[in-house]
Amino acid sequence: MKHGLEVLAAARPPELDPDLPVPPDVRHKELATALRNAPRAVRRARRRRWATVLATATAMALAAAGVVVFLTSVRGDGSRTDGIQPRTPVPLSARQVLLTAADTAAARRDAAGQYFHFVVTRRIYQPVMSPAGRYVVVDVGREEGWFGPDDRVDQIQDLGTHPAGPRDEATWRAAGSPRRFLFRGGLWQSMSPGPVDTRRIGPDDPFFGGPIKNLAELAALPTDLQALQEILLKRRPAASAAETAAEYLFDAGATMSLEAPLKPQVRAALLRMMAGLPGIASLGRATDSQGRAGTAVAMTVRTGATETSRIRLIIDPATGMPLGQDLTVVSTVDGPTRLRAGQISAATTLVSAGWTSTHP
Amino acid sequence: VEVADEADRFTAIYDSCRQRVWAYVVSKGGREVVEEVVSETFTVAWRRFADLPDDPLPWLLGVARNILRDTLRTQARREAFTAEAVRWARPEASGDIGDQVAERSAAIRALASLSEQDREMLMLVAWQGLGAREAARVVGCSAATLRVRLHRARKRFEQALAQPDTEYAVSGGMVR
Repeated sequence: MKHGLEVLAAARPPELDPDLPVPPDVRHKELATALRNAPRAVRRARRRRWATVLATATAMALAAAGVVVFLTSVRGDGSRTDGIQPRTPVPLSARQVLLTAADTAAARRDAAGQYFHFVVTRRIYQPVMSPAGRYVVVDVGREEGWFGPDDRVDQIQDLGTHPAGPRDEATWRAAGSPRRFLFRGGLWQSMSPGPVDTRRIGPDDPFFGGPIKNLAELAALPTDLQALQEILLKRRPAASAAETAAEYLFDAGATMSLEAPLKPQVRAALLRMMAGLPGIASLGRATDSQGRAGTAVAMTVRTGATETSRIRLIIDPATGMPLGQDLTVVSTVDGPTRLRAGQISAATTLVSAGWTSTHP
Repeated sequence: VEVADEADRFTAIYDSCRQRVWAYVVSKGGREVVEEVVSETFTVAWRRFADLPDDPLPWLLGVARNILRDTLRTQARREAFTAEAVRWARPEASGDIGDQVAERSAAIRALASLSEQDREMLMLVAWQGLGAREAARVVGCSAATLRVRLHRARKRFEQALAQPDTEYAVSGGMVR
């Protein structure tokens, strides 16, 4: 099958061509309207410059930290050593792990504070084709957020794209150490970190984070397991028919329990819901990409017509709180632009989460 | 003198970005609101000229996105997109012949069956040619997040494309 982005690019309606000229009368009218008033005199260039310097320094530190974490988790042969330790006896079933975590999470009393503050890092792995051969690169992103009673402030930064491991780096060097990577479908990414982007999100504004659309919806989530499951199923996209309802619910539950500022009772209900799903597996002790120890549960889900992947959720047994989740290819068809079976394709780590009374 | 210089620079930005902003807005909110939203976007851009980053397009699209969100409710945007999709899929709208018409029609039909979030990412990348970081700045997430969402959106698009009987289904707000 052709790559979806290529099919779509070829199907762009001609009227959306950005090189079409603006009709002169429209151009005149729009420019005259815009320029009617003077621009606001406030100049923030100086402050911005400082912010950029700080942001770049932070980004470099974080990027360096990210690379170190990754290098220590990859063996010389490229196989990953973090995570599952199959020889460790598995004391609890996945169901028991999730139910215990739910009880622990429900018993937590969230500290007082006006804003729920969290820091998440995300890593996405993608193969790149080059004259020197195929190698894998990882995009690293950092997201920091402050959830308030009726708004949310996000600070988002891309830490850049880098060769994923030592072997990938060797191939990347042999390919001339490119600073930018072009992916199939025309998408490109750069090695250099981007600026910190701050934005405010209102109660009805859409945001990413599982199937819940906005803060108002998040606040209204029920603590009843059945009611919660019904809401999630209603949000299931029509086009996701390939994955089963259980796969969808595990995926949504993992993402929400990890990333959303949920009331303890809601998080507990989510974990209980996941405990009741068919196909969950216990992986025993595992460490996340920060090296923190936890217990892992997983489910293998369909992630494409010819591809299945394993979603793994790592939970801190002491608190019942998820630490991170990752996605690893289980089976796939061979292709130059595809990750291979056994390769990790994405990882999200909750670096910190807690209550605070201040936000930027 | 300074304001005149700035007006010249603003005009240059307008000339290089206006059609892209128009294309983004019409594919998200339809032609009934496009002129108003585009005009308002550049009015805001001039007022906040000092805030304009070196690469202004993602910033402009983000402003247009906010204005559009305040202008049209979700349901209205969905209906507007469906109306545009029907128009784009018509052979006379494109001047194409034969297979090209069928292919575009199938792709647009598949696109229309997806959620607004899926559609938006696919259109920003495939139709606007934005990089991951630029597209991420428009929708307000990190490039890494965008890549996950885009990957999922593309899979859903390919799946919809493989099902020729895909309806112009109204799908829910799954934003993963």
